[in-house]
Order: sequence, then structure tokens, then C-alpha cells
Amino acid sequence: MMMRRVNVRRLTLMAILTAIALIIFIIEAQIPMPIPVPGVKLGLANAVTLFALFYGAKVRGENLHNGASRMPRPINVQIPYIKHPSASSPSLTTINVFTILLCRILLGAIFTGRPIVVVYSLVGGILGFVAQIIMKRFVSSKQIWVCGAFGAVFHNIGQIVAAMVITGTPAIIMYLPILIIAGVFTGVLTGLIAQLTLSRLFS
Amino acid sequence: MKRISLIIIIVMLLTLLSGCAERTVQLSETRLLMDTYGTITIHGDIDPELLDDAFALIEELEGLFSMTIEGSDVWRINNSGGEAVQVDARTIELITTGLEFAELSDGMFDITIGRLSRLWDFGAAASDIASLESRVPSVLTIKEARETINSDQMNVAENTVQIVNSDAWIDLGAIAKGFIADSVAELLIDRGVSGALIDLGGDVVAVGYRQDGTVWRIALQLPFGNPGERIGVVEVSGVAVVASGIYERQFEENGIIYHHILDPTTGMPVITDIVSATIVAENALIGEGLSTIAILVGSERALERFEQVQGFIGAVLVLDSGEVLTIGDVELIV
Amino acid sequence: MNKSERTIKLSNRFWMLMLGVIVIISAIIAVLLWRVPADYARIYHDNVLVDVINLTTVTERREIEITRDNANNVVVIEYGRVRMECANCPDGICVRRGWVSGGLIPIVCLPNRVVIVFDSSDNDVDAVVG
Repeated sequence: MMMRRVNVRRLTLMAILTAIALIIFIIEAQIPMPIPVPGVKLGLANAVTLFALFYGAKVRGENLHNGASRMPRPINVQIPYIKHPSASSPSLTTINVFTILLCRILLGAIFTGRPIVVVYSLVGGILGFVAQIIMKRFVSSKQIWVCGAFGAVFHNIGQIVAAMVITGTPAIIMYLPILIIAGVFTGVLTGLIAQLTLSRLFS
Repeated sequence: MKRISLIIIIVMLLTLLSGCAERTVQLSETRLLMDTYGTITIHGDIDPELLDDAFALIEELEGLFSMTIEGSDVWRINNSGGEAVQVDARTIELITTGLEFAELSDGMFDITIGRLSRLWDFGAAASDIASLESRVPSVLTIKEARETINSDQMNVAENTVQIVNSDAWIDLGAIAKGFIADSVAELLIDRGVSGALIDLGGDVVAVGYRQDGTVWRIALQLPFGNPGERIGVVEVSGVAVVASGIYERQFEENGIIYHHILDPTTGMPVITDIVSATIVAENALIGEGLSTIAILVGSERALERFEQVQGFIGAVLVLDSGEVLTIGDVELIV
Repeated sequence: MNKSERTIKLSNRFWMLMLGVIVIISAIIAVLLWRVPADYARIYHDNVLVDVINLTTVTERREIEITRDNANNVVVIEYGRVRMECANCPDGICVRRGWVSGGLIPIVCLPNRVVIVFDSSDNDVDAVVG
């Protein structure tokens, strides 16, 4: 029988982040965007993904080019286990963050009532995630907005490709320029949100 | 002053009226019928009601030829338990031609394929598919259905039709649209159109010329390609262009692709070297019949026999090797 | 083990420039696509061609209903322009697009799988068989 030691604190953290992302996703789904282009949305739930990625990084001491302190000072935050980010805090590996993303996508598709959307979300979400983990190598923790921008752009590219394949209409690629522009702007926004949250936590 | 105004008014009225008299209009309408979209385009000095009448005719004929509409001629024939049934003259015409197609194809094309074709459901909606274990009918049911297929058991008299074997069913689905398209063309010509294009889900009849005087251009869809991708265009006037392809209705299960053109001898989708067959013929009925027959008998037999068929003009066959063959008098513009 | 050595740091300016370039290039392409005249509209539903319309020869307003397979869309055609109406799609993006009279960017109703593709070339065919 295989015995596995489960890090309960990490699991709890992941669950909380998933829940937060899910709630953001569902609320955002209720708000119609002014631009009549399929796939344009704020993607705020991605801020949680970015937060999780760089949170794990910070705890492990990565991405610290700007001379930020390696030993974070304790601050007054209500969320358990994040209160004292320190060596004993749960780290989140990339796979953990990916799990959070997957769960949020699947649950989000169920809760927003249109399961078919899950295909588009998955393709976009995974591609965007891959882009983000690649870009994370080139970026410091003060530049999460860059990561966010690339993530959003590739998320949109993924959705366009999915739409092209599913509808069998290659002409949908014409939407790409608009979606890339939207991706850059919304990606910077969500990236900044993650960045500011993180920096408050670690300063 | 009053005089001049009066003259001006009269002149204006006359110009308006003269405009009304000889206007040729082009009208077009698309409707959902027989499970595909049909578009009829007409121009000439015509009555705007004509399109409605044309679609009404289609509905009427569908009401005769449909297997599923209770009370239709075909339904009554299938449910008569072996008795002779009195039917519309047009149904007699269609069935007679169907029997001729059976002879032409050595029995590969058979309108008594009804039991077999009902077993296979190629057009199932996605929601239904999820609940089925397998869309491939069982070997036993296929065998039972196959055994009912035989055109010899049909008796067609002056105004009655009888299937001697009460278990057998006729299915006119492979040729009904062609007949209907021809009927619509006849109606439009009788009512004085200068030109028309009837497109019933891929069965096309081109009457006369386009409004600008040029020939009608019909594109041939690239098999398995994206919608809109084509192998070429044919320019036609006064003929019908009909195509059939194995990619039109099909499903995949366990890695095998099952298409909708069934071989009556095996009960399964026919194994053939033709992927798509486009026929140019004098009327759509011949076009539709031959396009299905081509796929059933394969390219070799088609090449041998089609040119002798009365009403055949030309064909474009796409083989599974990718090769494109043309027969007869047709020019494929790429 | 300090993982910070594995990452590469590039300046903020660099990234702003990079993203800026991407945005500008995309914007240029978008404008170019938008400016191409759209003479032909092809309507597809579930990958099946419903109709091909030459927008420059339309004389009367025409409506095509797309109702097969749970779709509830209407394509409205007038001289030189097209629009889509949809009664049962959740966000109505296709409807909010409004009238389209130019550009190659298709009108899509993804939930109902209705797509209107535009063309400016002389793909002038009256019907498609096969």
C-alpha cells in the first residue's frame, strides 16, 4: 500500500486559493463586457494563478533580483498560513498551481451553467499557464505584470485556435489581433493585482 | 404657374409608372426544409408570390415522399402489409425511376433499402449520441434488414404501388430531393422566370442565366476540407449539378469511419474508391441517382457505363487516392 | 540553494517596449483587416454552408432564419451590409456587433455555431455542391 505524507497546510492553501479564484471567476462571468468580441474579458481569476505561482517562488527564494528581503517580516493578515510567510510556510510547486487552475476551470464551467465552455477554458487556460511559467524565468517579482500580459495573450490565442477547430472555420483567426491587444491590457491589469497583493504580503 | 406644376406632376407620374412596368427583380430566399437549408433564387418579370409557391410545392412533395411523415405516400406503402396502395402520380414517377436506377446499377442502388437505412442513424444529434452504447447496428439486425431488400418485389401499376414482401420498406431519401428540385424548376419555368437557381442542400438546378447574363457558377466542395474549400467550379446553364460524398454524413466509432451510403449486399457502408461524385445532368433526379450509384459501383463501372445513360452530361469523381477524374462533357475550372 | 541565479532579469523598459510593439503591430493588422471591403458573405451553420451572398447585388432586405439544431438566429441582409440576430445565446456578442459592412472579421455566434465569413475576392460562386 502506498503511503503518502500529505502536507495539510499546503492542501488548505490550495483549497482556499481555488475557492477564491472560483468566486472571482463566477462573479466576473455575470458582468458583460462592452466590447462585442468573443473572448474578451478581464480574466481576474488569473490574478490568483499568478499570485500562487509567485507566492511559491517567493517562499522558495526565487525571482528576487530587486533586493527584496529574503526573510519576510510578519504582518497582520487574517488568512491562516499566509500570515507568516517563512520557511515553514507551505510552498506551492508549479504542479500545485496547475492543479488549482484545473480545478477552478472545471468547477467554473459547472457553476456557470455551460459545461461546453470547458473546452475553450481548458485550451486557453493551459496555454496561458505554460506561457506564464516560461515567462517567469525572465522576470522578477516586481514584473509579474509582464507574466500576466503574456499569459492572457496566449490564453486568448488558445481560445481562438479552439474556436477555429471546433467550428471548422479558419476565418476566426481574424479576431487574433484584437484579442492580443485585449490580452496585453487585461494581462497587465491582473498581473499588477497579483503583484501588489504579493508585495504587501512580503513587505 | 398652375399649368407648369400640372405638367411637372404628370411627367413625374409617368416616369414612376414606367419604372414599375418592366422591372426585373432578383429575389432569393432560404428556408430550412428536409433537414437542410434550401435556397431559391429567381429573376425576371415575376410575381413575388412565386417563391412562396415554390416552397409550398417543396413542402407538398415532402409530404408525399417522406418515410417518417405519417400518411405520406411512402409511409402508407411501407405500412400497408403487402397490399397495393393508391398513390400520387408523382410518387409513381419517382418510384419508377428508382427501379430503373436499380437495373442500371445491377441492384446496388435499391429503393427497398428502407429497413436497413432506418437502422443506421447518421444524423443523430449530439445529445442523443451520448446515451447510445454503439451506433453500429448489430450483425443480426443488419442481416434481417438486408434480407428484405429486393426491388423485384415491387409492383407498380398505373396508380398503385405494392410491396409484395410486407416486411420490406422503401426509402426514397436518395432521390427525392432531386425530383423535388426538378419539380420546382418546372414550376418556375412555367411561371415565366428568366433565370433561376435552385439549391436544395447540394442538389442544384440552374435555369437560364444569372441576372447579369453570365452563367451560373457552382463550386465543388473539397472532400474532407473546410467548408468553402473547393476543388473547382463548373459554369452551367439549363442543367442540374448534384454531388454525393462519403464525408457528408458519417460517424466514427472505435477508429472506424461509417459513412451513410450503404451497400445492400453487406448492410454496411459501401467499400468504394470514390470519395465524392459530382454529376452534371439534364435534371437533378438523374444527377442525384447517378451520384449515389457512382459511389456504390466504384469508378471503373462508372467510367464504363455513365456515358450511355440518357440525360447524363458529365461527372467529376474524386477518388480516395486524391485523383480527380472527369467523365463526359464537363469542364472543371480550378 | 538560491534559485535566483537561474532567472534572467530584463529591465522594465524592455518589457514595456516589447509589449508596446506587440500592441502596435496587432493594432495595425486589425485596422488593415477592418478596412478590406467585404463583398461576399458566407453563412455557415455547424460547418454546413447555408448560403453565399453577394452583398453588392442585394436589392431587397432579406432575412435568413437559422433554426436547425437548437439555434435561434436570423441573418439580416441589406445592400452592402449584414447583421446577426440571436434569440437564445447567453451573451449576445454576435448581436452587439451590429451591422457589418466591411472587413474580413467574421461574425460568430459560438454557442449556436453560426458563423458569417466575409470575402472580398472574386470567389463568386452561386452555390456549392458536395
